[in-house]
Amino acid sequence: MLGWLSNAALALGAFFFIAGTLGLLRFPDVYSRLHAVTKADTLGLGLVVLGLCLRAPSWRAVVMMLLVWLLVMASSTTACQLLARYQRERDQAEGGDQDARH
Amino acid sequence: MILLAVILLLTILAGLWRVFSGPTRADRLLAIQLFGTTGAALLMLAADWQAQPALIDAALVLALLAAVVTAALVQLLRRPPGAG
Amino acid sequence: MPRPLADRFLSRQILFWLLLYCALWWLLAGGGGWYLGAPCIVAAALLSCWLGTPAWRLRPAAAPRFLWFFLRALVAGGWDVARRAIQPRMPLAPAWVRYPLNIRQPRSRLLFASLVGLLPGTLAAAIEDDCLSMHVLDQHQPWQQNTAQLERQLLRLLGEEPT
Repeated sequence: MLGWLSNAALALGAFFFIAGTLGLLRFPDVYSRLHAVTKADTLGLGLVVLGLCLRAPSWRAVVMMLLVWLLVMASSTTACQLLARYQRERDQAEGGDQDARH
Repeated sequence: MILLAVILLLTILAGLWRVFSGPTRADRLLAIQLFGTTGAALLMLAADWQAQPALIDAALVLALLAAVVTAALVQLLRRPPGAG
Repeated sequence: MPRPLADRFLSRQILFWLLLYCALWWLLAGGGGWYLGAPCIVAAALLSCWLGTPAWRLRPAAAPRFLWFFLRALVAGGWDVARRAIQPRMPLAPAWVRYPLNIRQPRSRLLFASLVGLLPGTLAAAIEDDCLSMHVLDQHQPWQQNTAQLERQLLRLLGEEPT
């Protein structure tokens, strides 16, 4: 039962990684790609961590993996925010009339 | 298991393509961020697969580094050229 | 009146940091190496107090609800973007929007801006004069409701009253 659940979580995680990669390759503009990578891959990693936690040998491994997930989540949300700000500043610097849209 | 590892490796390959083709700097940095996420997943998967719990520590270090790298690079790029 | 130094170090703060770093060391070192760990833990706790980082004051009663909301939003956000990426015609309608912030503390605002990036279809870019500039994947989505809901939950968790 536990093994089955673990496999299901890993498969779902793989699905979200594929979706994130597809988004990274297909989405037409930088900001949409940022969306894809932040959300899909964070969720994918979370599901992979969940799947691995269900078959982890010790509690320590479980807590460590959850810590990894938290760190990656913090880093990817912060990074995407910084990248969005950076790109926006550049866009505004290049085309001064573009910020009339918002 | 193997399938998941292959998918993760393909994700890294796709990220490499993004680094290569751009078109903007933010895209390239985003791919670097993706390497951190995927790399951590891959290391933890390997830890379970090879029964080597120490690899989880490696994943933790990778996650820590990934948290710093993108932030540092963005700060570096925001400086006007020649000011640093 | 400035607080005396001893008062600054011998407070509940230092107890909090000591416990936190002990837990961290136990986790990372696998329960061994305390002769190395103990000085590090004490030094780190003192440094944290000296830097004056106030610990988050959370409301434990609000935590389960927040966690539930957060996990649901995470799954919804991932699913939403995955659906758009996989569909052959990619239904995107990106736009820049502004959201007036109710949260006052700068630190809470930063946390909020990070969490917004995990909600379905929203991504925070900058905080400018009490407004959060966000990029939305699809402007027809109820992004405003989602963001407002997250803000309410976060305010409840942090024990800040909405102004």
